[in-house]
This record gives sequence, structure tokens and C-alpha cells, in this order.
Amino acid sequence: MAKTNNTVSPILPKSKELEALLGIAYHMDAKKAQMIKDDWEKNGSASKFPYDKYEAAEAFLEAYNTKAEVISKRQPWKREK
Amino acid sequence: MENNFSMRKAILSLAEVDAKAGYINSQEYETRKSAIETVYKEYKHLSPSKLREVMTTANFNDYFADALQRRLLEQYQFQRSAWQDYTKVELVNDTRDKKLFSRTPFGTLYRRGEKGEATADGMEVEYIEMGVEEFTRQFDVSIEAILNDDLGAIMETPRLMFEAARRFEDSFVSNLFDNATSQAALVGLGANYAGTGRLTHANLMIGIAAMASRLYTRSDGTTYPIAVEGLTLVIPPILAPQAETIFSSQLAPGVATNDVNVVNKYIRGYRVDPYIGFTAPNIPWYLFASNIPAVSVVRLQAAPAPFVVKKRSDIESSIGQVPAFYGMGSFNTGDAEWKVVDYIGGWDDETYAGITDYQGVYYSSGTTA
Repeated sequence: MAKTNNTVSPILPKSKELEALLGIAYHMDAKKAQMIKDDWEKNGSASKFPYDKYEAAEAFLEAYNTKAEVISKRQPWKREK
Repeated sequence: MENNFSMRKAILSLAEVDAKAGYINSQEYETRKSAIETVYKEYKHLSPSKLREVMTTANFNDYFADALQRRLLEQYQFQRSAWQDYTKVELVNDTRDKKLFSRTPFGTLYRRGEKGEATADGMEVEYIEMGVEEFTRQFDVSIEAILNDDLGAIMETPRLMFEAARRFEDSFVSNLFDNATSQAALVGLGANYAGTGRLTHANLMIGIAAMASRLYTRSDGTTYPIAVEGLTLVIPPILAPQAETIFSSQLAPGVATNDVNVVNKYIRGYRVDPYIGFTAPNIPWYLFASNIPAVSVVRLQAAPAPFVVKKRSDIESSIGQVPAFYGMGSFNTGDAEWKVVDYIGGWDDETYAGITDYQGVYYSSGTTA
């Protein structure tokens, strides 16, 4: 039930836990992602990493450094009591 | 003969009215007049070909233009959602609050020493309260409108009102979880409950992993991994082609590693919710667990679906036959009235809004690649 929110320790941006979570999908860690990104930005298409790795590294770092945002502009329904 | 004479006069007068009003010129008027006279004088001796000649179909257009040239267009078809597949319906008997109780799990076992007693365990119980409200809409039309409605549009009222209620329900349920308050609560719970990625295979895998690593922590500090099963992806319509690509691919789409696509093993499928709000390029999506009801929709036991009612007419015949159209409305005003009614509700928590259990949901704001 939702009231028991004291049981959760949030996984925050730039944390080891988030790095591990993202690593499951991207098969890299923050250090490697940064290395791939730097290499591409320096060498462009002459980089030793394929472009899709560069894209994945960028996505990894974006997700690693930020947290989710509130997108909805809708206000929730409030019951009249 | 008398009838024929009256009919002839009547049709001639129609042509006359058209001529006076300037719809037809004098030549056209003479042509019509002559045709009508011919039919009425010689109808007994007219050959079929001569009859066809005088009763040219070109005249039909002038006399019946308004009646023949009107057509009721179909309304737009509207997108529906399938919220019944990923929410839990809670029935209530009346409009009073319903309490949903939850218990904390028992803790781990401890070794008992010789002649020692078993360590006592405890269970905490807490509850949330939710309920329904009545939502309605009324529609009334005058007796004149019913009489003039030769296209049958008004008779479709009950069906159209019922469909409007269905759309309202879709939007209402969507708003229980897709709103600024619920999203803020999930964001506050951290990356296990709210991610940033757009709908890609990689980000879906992160969502699956995040839901698989949910923990329950007792107040004594012991933690247990929660079983989160049978996920459903819920997306706005704009993401449907992307979801279809991900679910239909044999290999993990978007990566060059030849990984097998295992998304289907964890996610039962996707459902489109047309009311999820977004501002491109940030398009959110949700994962719902089938075994943990994350959103409870409260329905009235006696009315688990919307219904349409019509006010019964208070008119009855005294002398003569009351025409059907007249017998539909009110004695005083002639108005006919319909009303659509829907009893629906949920939780309206200050923090979570309608999300009754955050352990059963994952939200991604779709803000990063």
C-alpha cells in the first residue's frame, strides 16, 4: 500500500546503484561511457568506437546524470467529502 | 377526380411559389406547368415513354432538394483505452468510504536457544480510504427539434451519451495515475520507480530491472524482494509504432550486439492510453505489474458501468391519437430529456493521488535518449 513510503531508499542520479541499473541495459559503466563520448567528440567518425556505441554512451550519461521529471500538467482528481 | 384536381392545384402552386420567389425563371415555370397539365389531362392515355418525358427527374431536384441533399455525417471515432487490463476495480455498496487494509509481512526467524522462548513477531495494519462520486450530464431537446429531425440524429442521443461516458471513464482512470502529483511522488521515490529514458529497448530493460529489484523493508530493518510479475506497458498513442517494433523484433532493436529480445518474457504487451499527457519530445510511459494493483478504480456495485436514462413523458392521450413525437416530451414545455450517469472513483491521496500502491508501477518521463 502506498502509505508505507518510509521503506524506500531512493536511487539517486550519479549513484553506484543507478550506474549498475543502467549498466544492465547499456552494457557499460559511467567511466566507459564518458571515454566513448570523449573519443567521438574528439575524433568524430574516425573514432575507434562505432556510432551506435557513442549513441548508447550519450544516452547512458544523460540518464546517469539526471532524474525523471514531471511531465503531466494534469491535476489529480480530488473527491468532495 | 376531386382528389386529382386538388393534387394538381397543389403541385401547380409549388411551381408558382418557386417562380414568385425567383428560384426559377418564367420559362422554367411554363415548362413545369405544361408538364403538370399534361400529366393530369392525359395520364390515362400516356405511354410509358411519354410519361417519362413529362415526369423528368430533373424536376425532383427542385421540389425535394432540401430533403434529398442532406445526410447526417458519422461522428468521429474516438480512441479508447483498455484500463481494465492494468487497474483493479474495487466495488462499493454506497458512496461512503471503502477501507483497503494492508498488513506488514512477518519478519525473519531467529535461533531459539535451549529452554529459550521464540522471539515475538508483530504485524502492523494500515489502511487507505477511497470512494465513488456521481458524474452526470443532461441533454434536452424541444418537441420542434424532434419533429424536424428527419435524419434521426436525436434518436441517437442515448448511444452518443453512453459513448461520451465511456470516454470520460477512460480519461478519469488515466488521470488517477497520469497527473503531476503522482509523477512527482514516483520521481521522489528514485530511479527504481521513475526513469528518464524514452521508449527504447534499452530503457524498457531498465524499467524491467527496476521493477524486479523492488524491496520491502520492515520497520525492524529486514528487507524482502517483492515479486513483481506480468508487466503491462502503458503508452500514449504516439508511441504505439515504437512499442510494436520493440515487441515484434527477434533481436534487441537499436543495438548491434545481436542480443535476443527478451522483452516479451517480462512484459505481457502494451496498451494505449490516449489521455496520457505529454509535450514532445518528452513522452512518458508506464509499466504496471499484474500482481500488485497500482491503481484502484472504485465502482458502485449496483452500477458498475455508465447508464443513460430518459425522463418519462407526462403526456397521455385524452381524445384522438397522440402522435409519437408529441408523446416523448414534457406536458409543460414539450422538451424531451436524457441524462447519462456514471459512478466512479478511486483514491485521492495528497502525495500519490490515485496510485494506491507504488510498488506496482514504474514511470518514465521520456526526457533522455
